[in-house]
Amino acid sequence: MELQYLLQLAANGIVIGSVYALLAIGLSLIFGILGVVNFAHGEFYMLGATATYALVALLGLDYWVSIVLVMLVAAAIGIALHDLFLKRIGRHEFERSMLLTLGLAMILQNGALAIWGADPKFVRVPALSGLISPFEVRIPLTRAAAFAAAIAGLFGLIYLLHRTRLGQAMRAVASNPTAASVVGIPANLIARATVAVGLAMCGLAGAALAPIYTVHPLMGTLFVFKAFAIVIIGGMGSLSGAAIVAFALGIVESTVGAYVSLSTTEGIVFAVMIAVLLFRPLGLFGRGLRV
Amino acid sequence: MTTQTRMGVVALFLGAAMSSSGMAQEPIKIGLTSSFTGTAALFGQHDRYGVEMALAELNDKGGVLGRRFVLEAEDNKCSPAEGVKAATKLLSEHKVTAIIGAMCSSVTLAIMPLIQRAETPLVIPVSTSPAISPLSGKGGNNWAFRTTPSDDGMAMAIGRYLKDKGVKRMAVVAEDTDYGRGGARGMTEALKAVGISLVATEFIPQNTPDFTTLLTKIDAMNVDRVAVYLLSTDVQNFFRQYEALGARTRVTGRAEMSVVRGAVTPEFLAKGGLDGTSGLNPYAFGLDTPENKDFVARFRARYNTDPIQMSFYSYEATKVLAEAIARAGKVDRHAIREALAKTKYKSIMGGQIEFDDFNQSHNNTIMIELKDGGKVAIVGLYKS
Repeated sequence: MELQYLLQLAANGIVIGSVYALLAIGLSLIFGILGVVNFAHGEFYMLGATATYALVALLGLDYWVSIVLVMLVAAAIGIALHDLFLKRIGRHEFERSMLLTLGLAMILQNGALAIWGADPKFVRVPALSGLISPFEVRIPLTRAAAFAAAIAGLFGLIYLLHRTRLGQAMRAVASNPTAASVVGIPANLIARATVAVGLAMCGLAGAALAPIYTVHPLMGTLFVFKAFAIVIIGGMGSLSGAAIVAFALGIVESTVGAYVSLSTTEGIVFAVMIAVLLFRPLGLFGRGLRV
Repeated sequence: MTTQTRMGVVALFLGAAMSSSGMAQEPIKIGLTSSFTGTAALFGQHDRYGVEMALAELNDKGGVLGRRFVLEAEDNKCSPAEGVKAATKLLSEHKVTAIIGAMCSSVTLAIMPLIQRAETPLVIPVSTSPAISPLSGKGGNNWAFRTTPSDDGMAMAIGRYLKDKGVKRMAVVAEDTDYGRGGARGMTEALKAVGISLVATEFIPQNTPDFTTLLTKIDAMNVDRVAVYLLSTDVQNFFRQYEALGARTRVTGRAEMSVVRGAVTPEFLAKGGLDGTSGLNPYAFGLDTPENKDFVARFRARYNTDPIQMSFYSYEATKVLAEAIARAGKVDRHAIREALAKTKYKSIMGGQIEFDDFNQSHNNTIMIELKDGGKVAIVGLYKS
């Protein structure tokens, strides 16, 4: 019983960790290459989930097709976000980027409230109803699918960054923007592609999590603070750092929540963040964009 | 006397008679303040429906003390500042005899000092905050009377229900806000009073996205029920994940069963996944008693919709106030206050509305359960 309880908690933690990873890697990617902290990340996640709701529940589209569509739409929104706003912000204009993305977050959140109201909506995927229970550990299929999506997203990004010319150019811009532009890498196009990829990850997160949680305008707020903590602990711009910390955090939260109390887990996340900032200001894995 | 003069004299007499009867019938002004605009506008509308219906029924029978009632309503937008403005207007401009309101507890708390200073009775039909009772009656403000059960009273009702069900071990889950903390405190006291052991209390932040750890933990605690104090979005998220994870511990508390049912799939309901889940309501229009059926029929005939908690409690609060004015024998605020304090009013809910030392009444509440494949059933009335 006790061992089985531990296994259940570990499984819960790993799955929640994958959810955190999905949210954190897009955030980390955009910071690594543009130097912009996207405070509207949680709202883009919310939009991804809302779009999934619109496609699946309202238009009756296939869920898997919808995931791809949502990612494409998110990428297009990313391009618009870059061309309209982010390209006007320099790498070191932190205050402007903060005000811009925070303002955007407020507009998106309140806009969603005004348009769709505060009532929670549900995305139901009949194919994903039910549980798998290896070793008596109960894992809902929706969560298993989100886990798979997170792993796929993570490996897709690693492939993009290491095996494609675009990815190599992204890494070049991340490690030294000036040198990258000297050798003829168009920083502007790379930044645009980065925001598109970052928001596509956000859309993937929204689509993957919509069948698990309820879809409503405030669904992103608490998650995104955790994502920030993860990115900071992992090292700003370090994708593998973010992923490792995300999984570790999921497991720690799940066990501390179960054995101590749930209200302490929130405190622990941010206490760890502060400790890391004190002793390793660049984060556990921080040193520019590394994967 | 010419015919003309004679007619004139008759007219004079008639006029005098009419004006004097007009004086005797100067109406009694009742004030209502509630939230008629903003997010709580629907609730405010029902507040008004209830008061209007009660006054119309009273007026149809000739009012009380031979005088009719008129209503002055002022919007408070569920904001304490607006509430103070609304109450001031009712007191000094309209000079009302008594006020009914103010729906949102924060507004009620804000206007209580005003009505005390103005020595005007306030009947509180909807605000359930436990903070109101300790300030009323013995607590200092003997002009405020609450007809609705408080959150603490409702926790007591849940405790009585759980005792009936033979529950031995409980856990409490609450959001980390005034509402959740207050609910958990009330529940802790209620469980102590009925002798049920409380194994654990967990607080979680509002808008918590993930409930897996919580649900796994509760199932491992081996408790008979978990009392949940969450508000609507979180309730739905909770039950959605409850279904996905196949959680087993039955839930009780104050959740609306319609909200709970909406959060899960019809298949899950049909196979009894939520059977045994319960929620306490201050009122439910489906209550199958002759008194309530009669009330619901009259309400529907008038407004073409079903009454809700707000309309019902405002209706009865108005009736309680009118009955106190009749017993006072005169439209005098002090006499009405004394009459209110001695109220013994038979509620449609089957309980007796009478005020304790803190001017709090302990009417019945309704426990609703899901059973037989997720069907909604009223399982009983429990005193608050």
